[in-house]
Amino acid sequence: MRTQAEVNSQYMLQANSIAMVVVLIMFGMLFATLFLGYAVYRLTAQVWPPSGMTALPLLIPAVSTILIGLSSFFLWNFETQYKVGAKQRLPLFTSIFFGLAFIASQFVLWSTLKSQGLFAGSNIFTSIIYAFTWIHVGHMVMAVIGLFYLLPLIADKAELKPNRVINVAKFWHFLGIVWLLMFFTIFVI
Amino acid sequence: MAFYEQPIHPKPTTFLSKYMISFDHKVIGKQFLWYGIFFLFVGGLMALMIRWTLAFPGVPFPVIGKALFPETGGVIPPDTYAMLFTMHGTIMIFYAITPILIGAFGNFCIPLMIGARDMAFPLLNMLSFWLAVVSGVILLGSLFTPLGAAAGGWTSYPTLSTLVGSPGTGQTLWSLAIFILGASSTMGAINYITTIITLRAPGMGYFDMPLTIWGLWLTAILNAIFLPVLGAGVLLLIFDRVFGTTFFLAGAAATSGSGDPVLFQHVFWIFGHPEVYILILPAWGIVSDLLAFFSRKPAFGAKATALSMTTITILSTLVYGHHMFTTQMSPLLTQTFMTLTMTISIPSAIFFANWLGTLWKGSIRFTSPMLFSLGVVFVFGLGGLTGLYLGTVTTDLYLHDTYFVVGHFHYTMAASVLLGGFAAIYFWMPKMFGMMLSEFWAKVHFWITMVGLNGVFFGMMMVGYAGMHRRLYNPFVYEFMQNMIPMNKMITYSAYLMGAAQLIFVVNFVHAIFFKKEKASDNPWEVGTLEWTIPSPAPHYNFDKIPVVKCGPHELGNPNLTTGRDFQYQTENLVEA
Ligand SMILES: [Cu+2]
Repeated sequence: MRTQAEVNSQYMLQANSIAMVVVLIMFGMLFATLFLGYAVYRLTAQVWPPSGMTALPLLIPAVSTILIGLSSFFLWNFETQYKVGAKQRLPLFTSIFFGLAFIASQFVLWSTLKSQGLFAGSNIFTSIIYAFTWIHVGHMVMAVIGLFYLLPLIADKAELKPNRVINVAKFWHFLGIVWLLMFFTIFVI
Repeated sequence: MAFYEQPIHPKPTTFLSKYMISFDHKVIGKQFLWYGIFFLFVGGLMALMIRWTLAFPGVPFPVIGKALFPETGGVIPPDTYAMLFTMHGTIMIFYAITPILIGAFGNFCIPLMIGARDMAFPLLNMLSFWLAVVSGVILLGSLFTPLGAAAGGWTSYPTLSTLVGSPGTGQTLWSLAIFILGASSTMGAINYITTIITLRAPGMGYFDMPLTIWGLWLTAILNAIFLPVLGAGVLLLIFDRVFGTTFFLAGAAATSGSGDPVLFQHVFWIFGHPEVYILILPAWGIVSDLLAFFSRKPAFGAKATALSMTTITILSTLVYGHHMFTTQMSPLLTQTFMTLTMTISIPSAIFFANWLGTLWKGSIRFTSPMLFSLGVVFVFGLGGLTGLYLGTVTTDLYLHDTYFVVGHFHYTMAASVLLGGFAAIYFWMPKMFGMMLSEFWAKVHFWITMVGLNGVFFGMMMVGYAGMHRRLYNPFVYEFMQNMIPMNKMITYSAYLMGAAQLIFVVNFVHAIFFKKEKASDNPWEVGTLEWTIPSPAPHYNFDKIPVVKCGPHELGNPNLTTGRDFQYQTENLVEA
C-alpha cells in the first residue's frame, strides 16, 4: 500500500511529464514549420546559396555547437545526480556558464555575418539564418531563465523538487537538438 | 486504493481574488465568457456595417456613422471596408468563438464534468486568460493607429499583408496579437489535455466521459499541434515587416533575393483547416450530449460518435490544400486533397446519423438548449453538405472566393458554433450563475435568430452562386450583379433582424444574473452527469468528496429504473433488469 504522499508525488510526476510532452510537441511544431519553409525555399531555388553570396562562417557556429553540447552534458550530469538526491552545484553552474556562452556566440555570429555584408534582408538565405537564430536564441533566453529558476533548489536546506529539474532539462536538451539541426542544415550542408 | 488528493483553493474573500486574479477554473471560464460576449458585440457591429455597405452603397451608416466616419459624412470608405471585414473575421474567430466555446465552456465544463476540483495547472490557466486580454487590447489598439487596422483579410495573405500591401502598424499589431493569443490558447491546451488525462474521477474511463469533454479534448490536441504552425507563420510575417527579411516577398516587391508569398498560404492553411475543427468540435460534443439529455435516452452509438470525432480530427490534418486549388497546384495534388477531403464525409455521416438515431423515438423535451441543439443539427447539415462543392476541384474553381464560400463557412463556423454556444449558455447557466434564464424569451431568441441567420447565410450562398465575389466594396459596379441588389438587401435586413434578436438574449442574461430573485435548483434539467450532483451554482471547491463514477453519462430512460426518476447519476451503479 502506497502512502498518500507517494500517490501525490506520483501524480505530480505524471501530470508534469504529460504536460511536458505537449509543450515539446508545440515547440517542435514551431521549429518544424520553420524547417519546412526552409526546405521549400531551398528545394525550389534555382541556385543555392543565392547568387552573389559569400561563404558562411563555419567556425563560429561550430564553436556554438560545442558550447551548447557541453551545457547540455553538464545539465544532464546535474540532473542524474539530483535525481538520487545529490545537490551538485558545479555541474549546474557550468551548464549555465556554457549556456550563456552559447548565446554570446550567437551575437558574435550575427556581427560576423554583418561584417561580411550579409544582412537579414540581403536574400532569402540570410533571412532564414537570422530569423531561425533569433527565434532559437529567444527560446534559449527563456530556457536560461528556467536554469536560474533551478538555483534555489541547490541550497542546502531546499527540499528536493526533481520535477522542476526534469522539465527544465527536457526543454534545454530540446533546444540543443534544434540547434544541432540548424547547424547541419544551414551551415554544414 | 489511494487517489491523488486534489488541493482545495482557499475561499476567495476579496474582490480582487474572487473576480480578477482567480485560479478557479469556473471564474476563469466566466471571465472568458464575458470577454467573448464583448468581442461578439464588436465583431457583430462590424458585420452590420459590412452588410449596410453591401445593401446601401454610398448611403451613410445610420446613427453612429457620422461620428465614426466624419470625413465622408457617415459613408463607410473603401479602405475602412477592407479593415471591417478583416477585423470582423479575426475577432469572431479568435476573440469571440474561441473564448466562448473553448475558453469559457472548456474551463467551466472540463473539471466539473470529469469530477475534478480544478484544472491540473491553475496558475497557467489564469495566465492564459490574462495573456488573451493583452492580445485583445493590442488588437483593439490597432484600430486606432494612423493608417488603421489590418486590412488584408483574416487570412492575411502576402503580399496584401506585407509592407507593400499594408503599410502602417495595423497589420504588425494584428500579427503580434494573433501570436500572443496563440500562446494563450496553447497554454490552455496544455491544461485541458493534462487535466483530462490525469484528473478524471476514479472509475471514469475515456468512454465514460461526456461527449462534450471528448470534443474539448480533441480541440485542445489540435490547438497544441497546429497553433504553433500559425505562430511560426505570423512570426516570419512580423520579421518581414519589422526587420526587413524577405520570406514572403517576391518579384518586384522584394528588393533582393526571392521569397515565396504562396508559402504563407500553405503555412496558414496547415493551421487553418484544423482551426475550423478546433472551432466546431466543442459544439459537436455539446450538441451530442444535449440531444441525448433532452431526448431522454442514451446517445445513439456514443462510442462511434467519439471515434468518428477522433477520426475527423486526424483527417483534418491532411486536407488543407482544398483552400488552395486556385494557386496553380499540381493537378495530382489537388486531386489528392480533394479525395482526402471527401473521406471526411464518412465519419461526419456516421456521427450525423448518430445524432438522428439519438432523436429517433426519443421523448423529446423542447427546452431552449434542445432547440438550439436541433438548430445546430440543421445548420451544420446544410453547412457540411455545401462544403462538398468547395472540396471538389471542378466546382471550387468557379465558387472559389465567392459569397458561396462565405455562406458555407458561416453555416459551419458561425451558425453552428453560435447556436452551440447559446445551447451551452442556456444549459449550464444554472450551474454557472445559479439562475435559470427565462425559457420563454430563450425560445423567442432562438426562433428569431434562426430566421435571421438562415436569411443571411442562405442568401449569401445564393448571391455567391450567382457570381458575387467576396471582399468587393461595391459589387454592383458590375452590370451582371445589378440583379442581386434586392437579394443583398434581404440579406442585410436578415442580418439586422438577427442582430436585434441578440438583444433579447442580452436582456435575459443580464436580468438573470443581476436581478433575478429565485435560485435555480441543483439539477433543473434532470441530467446525470457529474456537474449536476453538486449545488447550483457550483461551490468554489466543486466536489467536497471526489465522486466515483459507475456508469456512462447518458443513462436516461432506462426501463429498469425504480427510483421514480427517468435518469441516473454517473455515481450510481447501472440499473439492470
Ligand atoms: Cu478546410
